[in-house]
Amino acid sequence: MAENANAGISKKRHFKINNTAILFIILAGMFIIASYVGRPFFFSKLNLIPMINNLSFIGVVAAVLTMVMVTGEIDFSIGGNIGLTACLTALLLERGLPGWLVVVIVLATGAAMGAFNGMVVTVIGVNSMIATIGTMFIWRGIGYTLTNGESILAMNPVIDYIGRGFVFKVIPFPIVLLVVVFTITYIVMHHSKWGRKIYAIGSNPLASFLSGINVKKVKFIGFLICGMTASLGGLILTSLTAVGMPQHGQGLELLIISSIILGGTVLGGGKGTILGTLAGVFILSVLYNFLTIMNIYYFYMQIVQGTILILIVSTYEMKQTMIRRRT
Amino acid sequence: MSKLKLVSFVGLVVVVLVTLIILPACTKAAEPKVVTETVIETVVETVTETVIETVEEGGYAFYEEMREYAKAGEEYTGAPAAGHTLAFTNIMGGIPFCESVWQNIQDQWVLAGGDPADIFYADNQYDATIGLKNADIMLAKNPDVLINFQFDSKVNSIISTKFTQAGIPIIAVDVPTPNAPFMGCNNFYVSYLGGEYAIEAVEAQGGIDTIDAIILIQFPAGGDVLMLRSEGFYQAFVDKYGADVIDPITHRADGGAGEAEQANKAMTNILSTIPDAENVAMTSINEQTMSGCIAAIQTAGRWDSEKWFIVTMGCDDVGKQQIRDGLIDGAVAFFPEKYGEYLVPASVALMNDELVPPFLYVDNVVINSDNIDEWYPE
Repeated sequence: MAENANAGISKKRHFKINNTAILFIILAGMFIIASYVGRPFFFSKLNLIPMINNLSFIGVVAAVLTMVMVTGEIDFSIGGNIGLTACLTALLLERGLPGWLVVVIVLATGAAMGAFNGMVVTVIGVNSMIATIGTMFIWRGIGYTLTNGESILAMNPVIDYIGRGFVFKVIPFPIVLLVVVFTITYIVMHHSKWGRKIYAIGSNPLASFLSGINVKKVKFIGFLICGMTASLGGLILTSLTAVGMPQHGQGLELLIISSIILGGTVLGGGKGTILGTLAGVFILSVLYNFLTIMNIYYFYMQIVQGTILILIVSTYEMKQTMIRRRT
Repeated sequence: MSKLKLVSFVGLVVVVLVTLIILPACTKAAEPKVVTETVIETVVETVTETVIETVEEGGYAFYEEMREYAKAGEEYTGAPAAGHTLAFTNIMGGIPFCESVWQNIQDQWVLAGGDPADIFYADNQYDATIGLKNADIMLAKNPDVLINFQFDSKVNSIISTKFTQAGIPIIAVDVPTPNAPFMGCNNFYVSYLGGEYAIEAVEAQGGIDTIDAIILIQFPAGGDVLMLRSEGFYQAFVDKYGADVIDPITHRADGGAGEAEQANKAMTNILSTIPDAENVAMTSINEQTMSGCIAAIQTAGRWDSEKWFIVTMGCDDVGKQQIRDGLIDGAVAFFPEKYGEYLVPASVALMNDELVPPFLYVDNVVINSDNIDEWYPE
């Protein structure tokens, strides 16, 4: 019996790795096609580095949101969080606070926003989709109220460095942040006890609870970190644009969640990988970049983006159905 | 657990109440217009120096020559765009105004001898983040000139820095970009022009005493420059009758960027606050928003074309129809279908290392039922 169960787990793991591998093959294929068709522009340092730089704030949020989604929850408030963070950063700088202190305050505020979500979901028991759609409006509304809907310049050496700085004068700092966040989330999700708890909760919350896992605590911490990371994303975006505006991050929640789902994370929880999310984020960014280089209208891009999302997720479902039939 | 839930719920209520009390006190201290003025002042200072230098050097002969071809709709002599590349980042594709601008740029580019494949296009989707992303992609394509149509003037400073470093000149459309010639409308001026036109109608009706309300349908999230597109209307009334008369009857609402639905809601709310108002002067940032407003007035059963003095901004296809249907009194035409006649000659001049005037303003005209066929024959 135990052997059968282990075999099942082994099969599932094997399947997960395959899905991620398929995604990276698709990504590699896209890179090759884009490099050939979009030559000489696509595969150039001048294009690829800004492209990765510009996806960094999406990537860091997507990595941590994957953890939340694997537990079976979701956070739609990330876009609003980014908007409020941008406004708060600009306002605090305008009032003369030092850059490092602004970073600390903003990240703490992000953590508080995440904790608020976590509390509403885990303590009061509101469905996370409803709760975070509500807070999405609240965060953005506060952003608009604080700034009167106007954009505010956000220039400061520390803030500038977050989005536009270079490590060793070569590597853009947002790319370093992206790598660090993905590495940490990868280790936590796939090589730690905490990660196993996350998967267990997503697969079966009741069984996890009965086996001694503090389900609410894990979910609460997930929301808290997600809020803080969304604020980090907001900081990067504010720095990239040198402006704090409440419109920042508008509609970004759908793009980020699409990337995560594209990466193989299931909305119901229990399934999903950090590498899959990384591939998902890159696939959508490469797609946008390539189609823009090819002068394709945005309307068509939306069609292509939606089609690819449905195609890849359908492939997962079909494979899943085939495996179920076999077993 | 039930106690914890209760405490959390009470805590949430307290947090919400405290937030509602504190927020108004926390609102932005700085006046947004100060920043706009700073940007405009900087641009004006820079360009004034350029103008003086240019006049000394002999003017903008090459640009003016190209303009003549553009206005006449003729092929530019010597195909000055041949072998060059042009990038255009549109503020928001799909909007009639923006589509007209894009179409005219393409037409003029061909007249200038450019290859259609040598125009690089991107849609900024009215999103500064996407605007920046598109600017980066355009930078990678290394065009000879960028025509930048991006809604936030402050984000434009970052775009300007990147392109200046790469040695690629920019032409700004409708929203200022540092170190770039500005082409488009003076938002305050066109709005003021609309206000003056409305005042004429008000005077013909019997003067300001007969007016119950002045309504400005705005889009604050669109930034400072876009706000001027309605505030000029208000200022025209203030200059004529004084703030003490105008302020008490002026109402402002957020009608969105161009969605009739949001404008409809905003107008419905305003109507409920002025239940007795019959004679009203009104403007909005574009005709799409005005469509929503007019629908709200009609739904409320308060529509009377003789008593609503409406002047809109842009005069796009929707606006032309509104004039012909007698729904609005006039529209200040921005002539987006002529933007390319300024932008392409300016781009071609820059490509050929020639000088371009710092401000390329469109000649605005108030279009009404009397002159619409003259400007836009059916």
